[in-house]
Amino acid sequence: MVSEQEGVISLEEKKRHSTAANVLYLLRHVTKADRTYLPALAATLAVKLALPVVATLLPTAAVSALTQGGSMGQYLAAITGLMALYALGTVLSGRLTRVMGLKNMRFRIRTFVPIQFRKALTMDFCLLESPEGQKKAATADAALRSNDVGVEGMLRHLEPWLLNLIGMVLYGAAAVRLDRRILLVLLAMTGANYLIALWAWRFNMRTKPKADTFLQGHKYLRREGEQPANGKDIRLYRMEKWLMDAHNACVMGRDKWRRQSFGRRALRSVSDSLFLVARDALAYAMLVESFLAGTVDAAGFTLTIGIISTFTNWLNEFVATSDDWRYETLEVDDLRDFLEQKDVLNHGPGSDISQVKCPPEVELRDVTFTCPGQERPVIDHLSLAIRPGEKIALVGLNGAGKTTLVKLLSGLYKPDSGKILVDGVPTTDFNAAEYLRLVGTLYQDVNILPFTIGENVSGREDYDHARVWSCLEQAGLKEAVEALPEGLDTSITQQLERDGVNLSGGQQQRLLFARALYKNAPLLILDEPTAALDPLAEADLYQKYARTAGGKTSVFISHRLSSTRFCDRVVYMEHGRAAEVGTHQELLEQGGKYAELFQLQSSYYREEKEAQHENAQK
Amino acid sequence: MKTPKSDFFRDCRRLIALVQRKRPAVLPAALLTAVLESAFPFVNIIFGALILDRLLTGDEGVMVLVWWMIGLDFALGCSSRVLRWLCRAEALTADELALGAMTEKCMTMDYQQLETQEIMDKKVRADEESNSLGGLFGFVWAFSELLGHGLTILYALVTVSCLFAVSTLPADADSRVRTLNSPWTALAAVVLALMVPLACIPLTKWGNRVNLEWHNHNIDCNRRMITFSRIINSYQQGKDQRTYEISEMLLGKCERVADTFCRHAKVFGLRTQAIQNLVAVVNLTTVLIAYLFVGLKAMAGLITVGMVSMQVGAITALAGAVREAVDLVGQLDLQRKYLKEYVDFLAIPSEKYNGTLPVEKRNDGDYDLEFRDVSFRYPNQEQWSLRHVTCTLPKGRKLAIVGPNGAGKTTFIKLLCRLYDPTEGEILLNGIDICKYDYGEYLSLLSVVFQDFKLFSMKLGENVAASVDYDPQRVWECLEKAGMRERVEQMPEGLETGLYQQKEDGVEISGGEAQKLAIARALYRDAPVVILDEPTAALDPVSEYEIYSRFGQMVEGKTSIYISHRMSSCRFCDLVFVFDGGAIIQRGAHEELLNRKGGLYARLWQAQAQYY
Repeated sequence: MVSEQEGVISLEEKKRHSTAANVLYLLRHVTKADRTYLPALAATLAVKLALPVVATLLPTAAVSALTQGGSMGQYLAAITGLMALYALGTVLSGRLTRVMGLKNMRFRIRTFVPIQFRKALTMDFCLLESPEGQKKAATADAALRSNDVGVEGMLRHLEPWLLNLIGMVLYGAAAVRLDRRILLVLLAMTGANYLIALWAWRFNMRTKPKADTFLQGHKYLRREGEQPANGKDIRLYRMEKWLMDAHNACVMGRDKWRRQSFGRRALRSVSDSLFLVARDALAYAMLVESFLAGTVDAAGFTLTIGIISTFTNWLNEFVATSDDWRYETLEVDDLRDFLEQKDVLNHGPGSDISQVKCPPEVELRDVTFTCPGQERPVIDHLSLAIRPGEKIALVGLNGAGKTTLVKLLSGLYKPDSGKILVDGVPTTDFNAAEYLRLVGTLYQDVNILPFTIGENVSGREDYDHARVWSCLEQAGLKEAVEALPEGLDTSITQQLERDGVNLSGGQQQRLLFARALYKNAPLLILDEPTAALDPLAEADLYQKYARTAGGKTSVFISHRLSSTRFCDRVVYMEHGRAAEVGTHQELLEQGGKYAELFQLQSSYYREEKEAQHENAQK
Repeated sequence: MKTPKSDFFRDCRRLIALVQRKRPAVLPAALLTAVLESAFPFVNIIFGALILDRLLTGDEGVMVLVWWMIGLDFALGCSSRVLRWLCRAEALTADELALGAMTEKCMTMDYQQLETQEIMDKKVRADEESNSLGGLFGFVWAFSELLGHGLTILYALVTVSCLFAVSTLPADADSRVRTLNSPWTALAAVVLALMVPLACIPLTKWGNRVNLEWHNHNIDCNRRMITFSRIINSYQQGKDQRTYEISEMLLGKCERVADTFCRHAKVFGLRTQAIQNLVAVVNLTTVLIAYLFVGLKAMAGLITVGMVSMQVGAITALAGAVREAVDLVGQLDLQRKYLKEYVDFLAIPSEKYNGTLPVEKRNDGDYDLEFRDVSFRYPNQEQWSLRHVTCTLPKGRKLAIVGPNGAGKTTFIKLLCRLYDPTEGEILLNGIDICKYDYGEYLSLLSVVFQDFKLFSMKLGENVAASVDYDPQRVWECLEKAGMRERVEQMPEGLETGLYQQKEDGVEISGGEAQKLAIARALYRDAPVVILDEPTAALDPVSEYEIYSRFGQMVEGKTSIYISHRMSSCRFCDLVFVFDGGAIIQRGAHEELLNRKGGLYARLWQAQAQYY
């Protein structure tokens, strides 16, 4: 399939950073955010390197004292002294490890999470909205989700990686002084370990995308299956078997993959064990020989065995950490990929926004826009001039491009070609964030934050209470809010606050309307705001919208053609163009598509006779 | 909160049985791993000592011991590590299946229960808690580790028993040597060594308390951060955030939560660390005691040098195992409490009366449905949502239901579907209370498209049939009736096309198209009663017209209910019920109601018709 091939190509083309580059990238950020990071890291390494030395010395000292015939006092002093040192080391190492852990966590939560959040909030909307953008946002978010993945995981593993590397070198040097062959075995072990890890990793990379779809699949089914709102359909249509079978199929698909993947990791254990056989055989044979020849004493024997087995610990940990990094670097790459997305809107300095008059004049001049990933333009050479203060009704069938036009006018999209002029200035000349201030849009989908009512209306925490109340009043929601025990401080939904309240569909619409009122932008856009309302509430909101739109330039979209009545002009959109433009009356007389549509809808409402009359005429 | 021990064992048994059912291989594999892993260190403890002793006596046969040790190391180490991976794979799958069981419960429990806050809270707790301690897997693992520690203690005691052997001393032996030689001294030393981990129990408990407190703080912060992240990374909300400049408020809130989180982490983290350090240092005294006692004994010539390392190893392992076993019992108890939430959730009993009567199969659709003085109040609410509703559904005809938001229209449907049972009064099917029928059979009479219907990210054909197996012919017919056939024909894989992107790599469909699919799903069911709740809200006038004009054909010969805010829909229905304040305040044909000037129906109609 075409799309699959495209996916593969883009994956290969994607420029990936090396693990080292990513570690340095994080280090650069962390040292900037936290000046004591490097000193703390150095101290941790020093303590943790010294600790195993003490641990190895303890039995050595005991054997030495016992075989060399020291006094009881000497024995006691040596053991107690070393134990005290070991205790001190343990305490220091525990404390320092925790401090490093806290530093890493703080870095993720206080430095990197805000960086990702800010990017998601300020990047171009069209980037965020595109399926690819959403995927990037999801993976970037996943890279910051917990302590043991992505950013924090990679940083957390820095200390053990360094520690084990240094440990390997130091202990390896000690082992090589003993006999080169041991080092050879140890190196071969490292090599084999590395190769098997690489092999397992390659397998994972190749198969993970498929395995992840299983994971996503059963997570999705669990989430949706447990959603109370979906419970009605699930019961009515007896979907539980269908959904659970699909869920279990996903789990089992994942299970199969996991066995293969874990099997490869288990193989590393087998290889390790085999090398340990070689290592021990060699070490013991040599040591026994040396001992019997008298070149090594009992204490030396114990010490050497200790060193070799500690080296193996360093080695295993080193390979394990490097392996973890191999996964984490991909996650960090995902995050960097998200952060490095290039905006297309103008985020630099722009034309003076205060020059825009209220109400402004808006002109679309030959605007074309194609949604990313689609071939046919959604907006196709659209030209339309809206006079200052004019109320435009935008109508058309589903898929005609109305909502895309809303996003273009709202400053969320940039036209592919053509211009949108506000008071003669192309919108692309304005700073994107400043331009957003000119437009108050009620979007089709209702998005209310689980914050307080006041915060939802004003979009901030330190808001003007009087103004919020007056907006609520104009939107017809004041009484309902007054009746709430906490008034403006009442949270919406129980997502964040347990005593939050739920608003009905009509109340939600009014709240969003109040928000647009609070913003009081010169250009007002309403995208199907009454779909879920009953006729009385609908009529009431129509009137409120009409009143508010006075003194503003406004665009109103609705499938209920009746709404065009309080607009100055009607624009009938078809295939991304303004197919018909004129007053309601003009368009009816013109007898085009709009008239047809209006007849269709209004016929139900007119008296039977009239309707028949109409049909007869046709 | 103390629970009797019998409870503990009973719950443990229940949980183990549960795991056993999900994945029978987990438990044996985990136990075997524990047995192998606990034996592993003793190979080196024992053979290391024997080798050292043989060396010191200059015995040439020492290499035989070395080969034995290496061989055993390999066998035990290799098999236990491979097994551990197997366990991990088994257990992760078991966990996912166990969580799935919770989903299944949500799908099959009374709908009324699903909507209560209390039960949802229970679910969230079961979810969070079982996750935080590694779920069922964690439980099995802890259990097998406990067994492992038990075995370690056993091995260690056997090894340590050598210390009790009394050497025959020369008559002139020093009193100090005599004391060291006495089995009582050995006993004292071992008891002393064991006292240390036991003395740590209160410390560990303290540490656990602090940890729990921290954990509780974290749950809240985590929930908030996840909510923020979902809001911030969602593109739907992205529009509003940009237009209404909400970013700074969101970032400010996040920063405060993150701050709190980090502050707690610092305070609690350093405190738990201090406690852990204390425990670690206290525990080191065991090693010290072992070294002192065993070392002195060796100096007195009572035991060999090799024995020193063996006994130090054994005593340290013994004390370690006791310490960890004590910790584990605490952890198991905690896990049991958490997992109990899970088991309890699965065991929530159905409160709904489920009858056994079969529903008579008829081809003529001759089913009488009647509400008799039905009143309904949602659980924990004072206000009546429906009050004294009495009506008969017009058999084989089209009924429109209209009324303001919150008038009880959807509640009426929910009661009809038995998603809730009436608080007062009864609903009758052919004169018999619908509770008395088998629920599944009763439901097969109804095809419903709810306002907030749900399509899943699965194959389109499966969505229409709500099943893996579907009759393509029939699916196409239903799509045709719903006006969706053409669109589906254009899709790359027809009925096999996936919907949305969440599970399938599927196509995105518009709200209107989704609505048509939901209607097709209702038609596929071919039930004698068809209910459409606001089916045209997201549709443009042409699609609306299509649905209107097809409606008659779609529901031909069936009893149908059509709920809408678009008053125009009443035109093609035979009968209209007007709901207000939980009651049917007007009923009749459209013209009849329209002529009652000043009535709610006329007002509703007028509100919309005035513009046309």
